[in-house]
Amino acid sequence: MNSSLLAIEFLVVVLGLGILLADLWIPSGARRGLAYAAATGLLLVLTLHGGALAPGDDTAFGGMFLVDALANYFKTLFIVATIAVLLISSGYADRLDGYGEYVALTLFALAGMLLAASANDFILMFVALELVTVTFYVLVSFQRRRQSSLEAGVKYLIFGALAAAFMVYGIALIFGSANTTNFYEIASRQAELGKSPVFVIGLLLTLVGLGFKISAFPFQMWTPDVYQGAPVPTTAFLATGSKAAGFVLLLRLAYSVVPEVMARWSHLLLGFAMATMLYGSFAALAQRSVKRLMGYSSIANAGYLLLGIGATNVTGSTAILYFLSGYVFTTLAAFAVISRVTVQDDNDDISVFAGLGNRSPLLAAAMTLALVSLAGIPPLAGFFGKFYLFKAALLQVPTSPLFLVAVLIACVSVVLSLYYYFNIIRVMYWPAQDAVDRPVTVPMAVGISLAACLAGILVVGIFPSGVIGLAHEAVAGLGTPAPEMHVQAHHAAAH
Amino acid sequence: MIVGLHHYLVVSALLFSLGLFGVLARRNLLVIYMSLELMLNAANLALVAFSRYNANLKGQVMVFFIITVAAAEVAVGLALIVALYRRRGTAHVEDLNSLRL
Amino acid sequence: MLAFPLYLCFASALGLLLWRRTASRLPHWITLATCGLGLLLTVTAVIQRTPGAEVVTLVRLPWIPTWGAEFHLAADGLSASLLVLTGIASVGGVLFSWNVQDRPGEFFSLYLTLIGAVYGVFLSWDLLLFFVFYELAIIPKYLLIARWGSTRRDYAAMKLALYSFLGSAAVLVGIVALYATSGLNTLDLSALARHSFPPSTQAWAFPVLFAGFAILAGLWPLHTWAPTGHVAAPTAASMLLAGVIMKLGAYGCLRIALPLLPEGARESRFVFGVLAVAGIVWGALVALRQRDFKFVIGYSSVSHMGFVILGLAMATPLALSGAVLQMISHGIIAGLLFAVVGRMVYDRTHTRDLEELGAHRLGKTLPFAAVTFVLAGFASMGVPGFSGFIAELQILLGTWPVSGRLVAVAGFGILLGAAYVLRAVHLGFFRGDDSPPLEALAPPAPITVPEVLGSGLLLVSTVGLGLFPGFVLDWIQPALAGPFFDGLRRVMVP
Repeated sequence: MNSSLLAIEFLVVVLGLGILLADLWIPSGARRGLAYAAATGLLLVLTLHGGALAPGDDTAFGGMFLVDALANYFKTLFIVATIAVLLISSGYADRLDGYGEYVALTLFALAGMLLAASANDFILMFVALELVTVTFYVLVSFQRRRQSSLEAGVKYLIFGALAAAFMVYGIALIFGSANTTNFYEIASRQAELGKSPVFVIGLLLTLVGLGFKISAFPFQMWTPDVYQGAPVPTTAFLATGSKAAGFVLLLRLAYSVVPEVMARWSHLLLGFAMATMLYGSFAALAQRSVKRLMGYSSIANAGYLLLGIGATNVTGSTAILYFLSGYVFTTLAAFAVISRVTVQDDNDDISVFAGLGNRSPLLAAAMTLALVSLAGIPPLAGFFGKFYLFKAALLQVPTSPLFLVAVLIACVSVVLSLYYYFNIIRVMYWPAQDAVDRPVTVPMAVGISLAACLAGILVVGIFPSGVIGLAHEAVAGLGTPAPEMHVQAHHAAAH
Repeated sequence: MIVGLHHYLVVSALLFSLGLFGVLARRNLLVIYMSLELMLNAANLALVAFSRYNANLKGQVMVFFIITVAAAEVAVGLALIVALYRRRGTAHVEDLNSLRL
Repeated sequence: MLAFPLYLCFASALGLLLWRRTASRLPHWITLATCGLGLLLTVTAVIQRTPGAEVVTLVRLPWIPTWGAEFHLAADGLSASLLVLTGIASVGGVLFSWNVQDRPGEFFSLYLTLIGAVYGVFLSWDLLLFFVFYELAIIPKYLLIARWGSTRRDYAAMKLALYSFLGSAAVLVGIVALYATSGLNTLDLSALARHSFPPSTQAWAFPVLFAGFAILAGLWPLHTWAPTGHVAAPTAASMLLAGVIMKLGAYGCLRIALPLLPEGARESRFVFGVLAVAGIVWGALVALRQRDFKFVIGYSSVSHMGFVILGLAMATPLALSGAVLQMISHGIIAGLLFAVVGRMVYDRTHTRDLEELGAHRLGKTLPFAAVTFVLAGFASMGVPGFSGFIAELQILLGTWPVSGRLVAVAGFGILLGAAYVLRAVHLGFFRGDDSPPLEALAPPAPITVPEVLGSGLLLVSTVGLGLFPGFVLDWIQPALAGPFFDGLRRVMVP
């Protein structure tokens, strides 16, 4: 057994337990320190992770747990996102009773995401996702005294449990038809398994479960409510970490475990992608709550990412990784600003942004940059991500003209999204007459995370080569899902 | 009559459908939650049946994982529902209406 | 040296953004110096080395090696002539916004970003870089209108931004399709122009790409953003919008859609020709019935850009040369017309209603504005001796071999053009005698020096271009006959 592969996960859990214990000793006024400590700890873990990146692919726990380039890429992403979320939450600590537990739970959710990135077995996949989801039930409803937070928590609970039930039933059927739950073993027999209806139904049910996690249409109903009701740092974490965790598993399933079945379903995936994009963009048009708007925007972005899954080519998988990296920075920057602007009144109506250009020019500029990147305007990260995803989809046009339709629909969705992003920019710089004129404070920690995220947007955007190179290496092990290539044959042999 | 794998699977599918119907049709949060548990247990039944008829113990192991996870979920979920009940004095989904446009 | 204005604009824009003090003239001077230096450098560069067919690479650095994207700036005669236009229009724009008092630092920072993006578009020789600059121009445009604009500025700014993005979304699809289907993994324009794309790709990619670009050039029936945007924009922004930004779309058609996808261009030339002619006549007819002075000019831009699109759609050498000349000529004239209406008239009288303006007897009180407008109006009507005449003549002559009917309808559009200009001149400046006298009206403030300088620059340019068109045609025609357009010429000339 090669349990040293789990060092990162182990360290994160220990860090979480340490925070829980320290919480008992620290006076309530100094609880912010716990977030700083956790962030510093994670930074340390990140450095170790960077140093430990060198060892190649290996598995532990009887092939259940896998470390490969893809897992490492996503783990870096998760840790970076968590650090930013912790720093954002430190500025929000006054609104979160029992803040020490909030920090610890954030770390436990991170542990779940890290495990999900390394899952090589349906059992581990389920357990890891549940670790994330159950933790999020609490994180979403953490403002117990606020009714909307509780309601959001209960909605997330019902939909999350429903998704889990679908996924478990799907896994049961997969286990029944394949007599295994290991990804490698299933991958090596996918041609034969793809013909079994029980297996196919099981796979579909599992995908439904993942669809809830990434908020793809028609499993997106929870997203706007939960995004709106949850405390801002939780919403930021949901939009980045939780979504990325869904995508790493989707990516592994689509590109590595059952690529042949997925290639057959590319039209189905494209259909979901188109519906998701259009739903997200159209529904966002009328929103007044900024958090809710970000929820719909997150749905639309899931749609763009699904284009990459549907394309089932190397460009598509690379594009997903690149897009997600830019998306994480952009979304976190936006939520960092939202957390500061909404913290005073605990109100996230778009009107609280009125006149931000005067009240805090730097925050307004940061928000503008983030929104412009989300809108996909060059030369920022959001644009190159969409460019890459469109390229992946257009490469498939010779196989089916539906890809062209999907890209055109994505364009419509992008143009619609400009309307609501620009609307926020407009409100920030051209307030109505009765706008409040209160300055917005930015604690140092939030400022640091905001600055880091903005730097991320710019670097991922203007110099995309580096990230693209990393993403390319990360997906190299996934193999091409073209029918004539029997992917993972060498892995199966190694196993 | 010999009880075979198919009988177990049919029962499990029925349980799953009943649970899903309960989630969609019922309006009381606790009943919805019980229906969700029913769906999870339908999966457990299917796993145990597969495990027995495929002579593969992995399915039984999976069931333990699911029971544990479900227990954690119930603990958190019930706490949430109770907190909501205390605050609102109701456990009906129609009353969850503070989050709107 | 041609690439310097690009860097200069972005550097000054950044500097001005950090400039916090308001109500100072320093931003004005910095912007004037930047734009003036940009014009000077451009003109010096083209005089030193007469541009023509040869594509001169200015900078070429690797940018995203995995995608084959480069930071590649290059210019030929077409780019050079449009760069000069940008220089002239930008200097004129600053001179006519000398009275901006509201946050001048930010105003001019956005203004310079816009100019820089325009320089970037005209200089890019890499598809991705081109698109980056092309989109970069939209944000300052939106902010300038939404913050410093007038009539229904929120609506106009949002409409303009959404139309622009609709166009660039189509352009993006087209560009990515070219990039993905060529299989060359390059975004270099020359390399892609040498590649011949399969007819099936051309058949759908060309209309997508051409229509996407042409939305920004005011393609009927997607032109409605242009009049509302021009009207709401502050003077300098409407000068640039009509003068240069609409040309970005036309330049995209000319530089990317036509030479890369010539067969697609031939297939759909008639469709776009009809749309272009519809735009010419529609724009002129609507301009004829407007009460708002700025709307008259706004719709006249749609009509004149219709000629550019017609020339591009026909894609015969003569029509293309006319289209480029029309781009330059309209760029200067439209700037001048907007300057007179927006700065000289509206800022003094605070009305643009042609019915009310009569009472101001502007022909007597503002003779300079009246004379400038009449001259610009003549140029716009296509009176011989001004640049518009030669350009429209070339376009019509170039269209003739393709379709005589299009020429006839477009010619009718020229007549209508004369009508709306004369109507605007009459109602706006010389109607005082038959309108009720309003004694209470204070005489307007005198014309300032920057206005005189700006009008002088633009007037000299348009008259000069009209008298010596050969000067610019000598850059344009060799470029159109150059190797870059080989594929297009092969397909278009039977």
